[in-house]
This record gives sequence, C-alpha cells and structure tokens, in this order.
Amino acid sequence: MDIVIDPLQDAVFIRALFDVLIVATIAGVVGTFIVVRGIGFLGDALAHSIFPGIVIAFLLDANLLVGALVAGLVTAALIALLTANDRVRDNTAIGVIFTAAFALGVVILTERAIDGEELEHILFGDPLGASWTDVALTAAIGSAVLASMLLLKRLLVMASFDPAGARAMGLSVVLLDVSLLVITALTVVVSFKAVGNILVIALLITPAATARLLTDRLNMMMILASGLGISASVIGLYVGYEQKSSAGGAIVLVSTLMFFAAWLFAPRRGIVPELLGRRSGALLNSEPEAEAELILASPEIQTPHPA
Amino acid sequence: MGAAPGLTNIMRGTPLVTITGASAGYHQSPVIHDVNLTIMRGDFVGLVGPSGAGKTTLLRTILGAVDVYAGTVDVASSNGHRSRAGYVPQINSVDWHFPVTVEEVVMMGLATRSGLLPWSSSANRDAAGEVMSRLGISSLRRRHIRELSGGQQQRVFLARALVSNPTLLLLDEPTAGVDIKTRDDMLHLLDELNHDGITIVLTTHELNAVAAHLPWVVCINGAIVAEGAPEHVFTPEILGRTYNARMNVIQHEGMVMIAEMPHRYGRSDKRDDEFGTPAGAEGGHKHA
Repeated sequence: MDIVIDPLQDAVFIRALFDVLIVATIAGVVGTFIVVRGIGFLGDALAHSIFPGIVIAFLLDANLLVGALVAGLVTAALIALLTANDRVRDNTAIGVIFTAAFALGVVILTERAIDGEELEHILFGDPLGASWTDVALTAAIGSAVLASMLLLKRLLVMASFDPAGARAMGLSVVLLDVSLLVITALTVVVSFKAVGNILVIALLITPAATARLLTDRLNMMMILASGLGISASVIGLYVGYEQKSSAGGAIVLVSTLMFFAAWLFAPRRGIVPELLGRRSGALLNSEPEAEAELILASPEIQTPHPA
Repeated sequence: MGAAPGLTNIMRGTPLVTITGASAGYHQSPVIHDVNLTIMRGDFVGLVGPSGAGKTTLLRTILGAVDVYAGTVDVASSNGHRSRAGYVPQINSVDWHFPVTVEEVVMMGLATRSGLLPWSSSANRDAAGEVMSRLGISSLRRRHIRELSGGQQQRVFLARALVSNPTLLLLDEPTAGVDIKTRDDMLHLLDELNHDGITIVLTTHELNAVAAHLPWVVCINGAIVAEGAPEHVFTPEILGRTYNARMNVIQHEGMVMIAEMPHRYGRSDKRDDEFGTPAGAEGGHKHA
C-alpha cells in the first residue's frame, strides 16, 4: 500500500496527478473524433508544430504552455488558410507546415544550446515538474475544450459522418473542420506537459483507438477513451515516480499495452475471440462480410466450373 | 404529373423550385450550364443522365450547397418560411465505419434545430421514433448502421430526411445497389410520401424503373436535354442526345422499356452447347 499512498503525500505528485487526470479526460474526448475521422496525422502534425513555440517560450523564460498555445493556434490557422478552396490538399498542407515549424524549433534550439535535461522534458514530458500555474492553465484550457466539444458534438458528428448531407442541411463543414482543428491544437497544447512534444499524439490516439476496438457507440467510445487514458496516466505516473524514470514515456507505454490487450481480446473485434469463433464454426456476427466469408468457406457450395 | 392529395388545392400546381439560366458547380468550374427548370408543388420527378452529367450538382443547386455562377435558383416559401428540403445522399458518400446507431443517424436530421445542447429533447426523440415507426425500422434503432441491408440503410437515410418534416425531398440515387424488390418497395414508399404532399426529386440510372413508376422525367447532360412524361421523353433521339449512345426504346401497351441490343462478348463458341439446355437433360453441363 505504501507504493500507492506515499506518493499522494508529495505535493509534486499531487500536482502531476491533477494535470494528467485533466489531460487524459480531454484527450479521450477529442481523440475519439480524431480516430473516427482518421486524422491522426493532423494531430501528430499539430504536436510537432508547437515545438518552436515551446522553445521560444523557454528561451524567453515564459510559461511553456503559453508558447505552445500561440504556436498551436498559428499552425491551425495556417493549415486552414492553405487548405481553403482546396488549392492545396489537407495532408500536403499539414506536411509542409508541421515540418517547417519543427525545423524552426530545431534551428532555434541548436543556436542557443539548451540544457539536455530541459530538452528531454520538452520532448518527452515532465508531469512531475508541473507547477500549480500549469495545472490551473491546463484546467482552464481543458474546460474550454470540453465545453466546446459538448456544444459542437452533434454538428461535428454530422459533418464527420456525412459531409455532403451536412452541407445540404446548411451546415458549414469548413467552419466545423476548423473548429475541430483548433480544439485539437488546444488539446495538444495542454497535453504536452504530461507526455511531451513527441509523445503527445499517443495520449490522443491510443486510448481512443483502444476504445474503438471495444465499442460501436460514439458516446461510449468517448467515455472509454477518457477512462483508459486516465488509468494509463495514473499507472504511468506511479511508475515514473517510483522508478525515477520518464513518467510521460511510462504513460504512453501503459496506454500501448492496453491497446494491444484490446486488439487481442476485445469481445467483438479482438483477434483471439475471432479465432475461437472460427474454430467453433460459429457465425462471428451479423456483419455481411462474416456471412460472405462463411458462404465462401462452405464445402457444399461448389463453384459452377470446377477446375 | 404526380397527384399530391396532402396539398391544398390552392398550393397544388404552383412552382416550388424555379431555376432560371443557372450555371453551377465547384471551385469555379461549372458542372451544369444554363439550366431552366421548374419543379411544381406535388411533383414526383426523376433526373436521369450519364455519370458526370450533373444530376447530383442539380440536386445540390436546389439545396443551395454548390456555387451558382449565373442565373437564379428560387425555392418558394411555405407559410412564410423558406420551404424545408430533406436530402438523402448517395449511400457510398457516407462513412459506414463511423460509430453511430440507426436512431442517432435519424436524429441527425434535427441537428440544426436541436440547439447546442449535447443531448436530444424528448420532442425530437418522439419525432424520430414516429418516422422510424412509419418506415418500419423501429426494431433496428439500436443497431450499428453497417449491420443493415442496402434497403434498410436507404430507409434510415430517408427517415433522417423526413424527420424534419420537409416540403421537398431530394434523393441521390436511392435505388442504387439494391435488388428489384427493394427498389420497388422504395419507389412505392416514395409514392406514398408524394401522395402525402411531399414534392420529390430523385436521381437514378434505372431508366426502366423511371418509365414504369415516375410521372415526370428530366434528362440532363450538363444542360437539360428534355423533360416530360417518360412515354414522351424516352425516345431513341432524346436518350441518344442524353447519353451520347444509341438507345433502343420499346413501347408496347402503355409500357416503355429501354432495351439493350444483344451483344455476346467473349468467346461464345466455347459455351454454345450449354445455352438453353435444362440442368439434368441430355447434353447438359459437361464440365469435367
């Protein structure tokens, strides 16, 4: 029990715990949309794009979250500007902007020799280094993100599921896409302190991808993604605290383990239940693909022209 | 044209959509040119033409969802408000892996009228329940949309379009990819809705179904080629101009059929002995 209780008496751990709980909750909700829209690359790009903002804030001795926030919003605006009117394809614009932003961060970084440990915290996270100001800022931005998601959820679902139908109903799909872009940028900003600039995308995508393997319902997917993210964050934080290793890295690794567990054992989509189902000859589910597979595998249905 | 008893006598036969000299398309490229078309209240219209002819663009022009570069598109108001249009998209334009249930898809039809609250009001849930019940999909309400048959999927999107109680229903290829029975059921259902007063415009590639079931047809190939009753419009000359291909039309006892000239592709000599021989009879299948 000491392993569980002792850290809770340390203010550093308590601050980190608050920070990761807020971050995991938001990342689960926003990550769900990133996964169902298949725009993981966008999240990754935004994560890399905040790098110069963090480096500049670090050099100016300003709050890193503020630097990340400015860089994230500038990046989101640039991507939206480039992709307006379809002159440049989404993925192309994202590829151009995020590599340029990251390169800018690297140039600034190498010009001003930054301490190795500080660089490690920027890249791989330092939740145990969160101040109360960081926690307050995370809570404020996180609340805004969560409120925006709840208010826009219905419209975002419509625009994601059936963009043509959404346009036909008079919805501005472009505006909704930009909203999702800004919300993702804000989520990346508040998450980077917990898991770092490089690993932040894992907190957005991995719990949501795990949840997708477990459910076909969007609301449930958001709840599960947040729950899984919270579990991974708490376990990872304890591991990092006890082992004096990177808590950010531990959080991502625990989250990845959960993903592979779901990939193997998820009741409907897992590999193992599928193999067991095939062995027992049961029809896996009512999906047309499964039925077609069964028909093709049936020896009594012969091809009209056997070789 | 199709009768619509749900309309008052004053409204029936008055223009609902008036398109005058319209050119419309996407990203500064017009897809349809100089379109003049009037859809009357209570009409049941089929839009036919080859792929890329602008059928979907014309539907979206009516919806106001594409750029109009020239001309005007006027949708008349009903009871002082702009007439509501329900839209059923092409079934392949939807993300079928998206985690939503049948009920959630139907509720999307009320997305713009539900305010910003993340949950649905009981009135909206009741409206969705009512339309699902009418279309016979109530028992599927908790199912994921990918678990449905093609006909059921079409009904779900029809329910989504109907839940907002539209005056005008626009359907993009509602009979694509379904068997003949399901297609006929869908057209029968649309006919019922038309009789309830809803003006219907649909696109389709199924000329024979249009000829058999729809009272009015519009042929389009970038511009309007012709419009009228199928028996007047489905002629080799008009269909030839619409499709840029030779089309054969058979008219017999009120029926209009577009027939294909028999062509036997491939090596017919290889299977000549198989054709027309019942299974089990002498000279039947001779596969080793």
